[in-house]
Amino acid sequence: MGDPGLTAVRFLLYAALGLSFGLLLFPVHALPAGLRDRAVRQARPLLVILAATGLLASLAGLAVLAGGMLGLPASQIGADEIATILALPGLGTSIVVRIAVLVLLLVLLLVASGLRRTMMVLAGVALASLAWAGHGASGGAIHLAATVLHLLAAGLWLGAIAGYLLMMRCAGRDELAAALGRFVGTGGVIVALLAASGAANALMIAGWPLPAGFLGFSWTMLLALKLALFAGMMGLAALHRFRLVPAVAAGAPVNSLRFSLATELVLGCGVLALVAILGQISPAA
Amino acid sequence: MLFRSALFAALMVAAPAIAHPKLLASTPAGGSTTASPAVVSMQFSEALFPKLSGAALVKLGGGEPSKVETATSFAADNRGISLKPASGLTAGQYRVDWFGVAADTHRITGNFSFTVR
Repeated sequence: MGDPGLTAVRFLLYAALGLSFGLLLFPVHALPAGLRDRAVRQARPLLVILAATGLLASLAGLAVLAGGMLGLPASQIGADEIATILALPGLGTSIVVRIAVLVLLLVLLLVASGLRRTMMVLAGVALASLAWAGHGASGGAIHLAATVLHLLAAGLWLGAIAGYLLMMRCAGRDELAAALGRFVGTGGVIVALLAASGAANALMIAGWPLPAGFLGFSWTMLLALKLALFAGMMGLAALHRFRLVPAVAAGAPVNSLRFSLATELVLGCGVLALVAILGQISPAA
Repeated sequence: MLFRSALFAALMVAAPAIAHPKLLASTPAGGSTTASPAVVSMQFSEALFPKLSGAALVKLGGGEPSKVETATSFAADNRGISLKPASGLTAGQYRVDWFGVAADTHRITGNFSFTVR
């Protein structure tokens, strides 16, 4: 189901670029102004790895994509084939922009990591560019906009989980509890954005009225699995909000919350793996 | 309220699925018997990338299929491919092998046959 090479590349891109964007945005919604630059400095080694992974996956993905689109084996992909893909309207431009902003992001992370807002915008552009590689690019401006929104909201969520896990390594209990408390509003906005853009995307991809046999399609099964993982993440988020975060604020050890957040991140990666496949198969196949 | 209105509108309006590109129709139609066509044309469900899409006309029967020389052109909206044979098609069975890539990046292939009387 789907090309394994392309699935791997798509997963790496979603994970690396989603986490980069979310981690760079994390201080804005979770920390007071005075602590934001420090948080980015602490996350810098991870951000460098994520941006480099995104860049390498973009380059590898270009070769995989060229092979698939031109119907050629990897051994026959050269500069001409790559140039053909990069010259395509929409898709080609999105790849060029992604590679350029990721190079710039890496340079800033290495030499000017104080430019937090610029890096946040670059990471957002890199993540949004993924909307042009998949079903989102086939349905016009509204579908593309909904896909971009879905990507950014998902990145924000995954990056927040990673941000809290990083904080647990070095922040004090009060600082951590305050940061966790600030996620209530952000989390609600993320879930609302994901639900609205996800429902719109699914309807635009599947078509309306739903095609005959819709429930039996592989695409539908994978989407149902994705929604089940999403529901699991929502359940853990509710557990954090109503049980574990108040417990940490009251002085309980952070171990339960750390384990639960790590589980939520694993579920999130499961969602990304499913999306990496879903974007390659057709609901009408 | 706005979202509910938009969702209601979206649910009320029929919209085609965004699937991989599909051949919607062809002239001559697959399986038909026809006089020699001046042009073989195909209509697809989505706009194709012309650089990554195309079609070939082959004559069947009497041993190995032989490729017919044609000129390929795309419709202005890139949803159609036309093959214009260099000379009139002689009586016999023909097959069109097509391939196409649309914005969702998937390479789709297919074929159909027709008979010239």
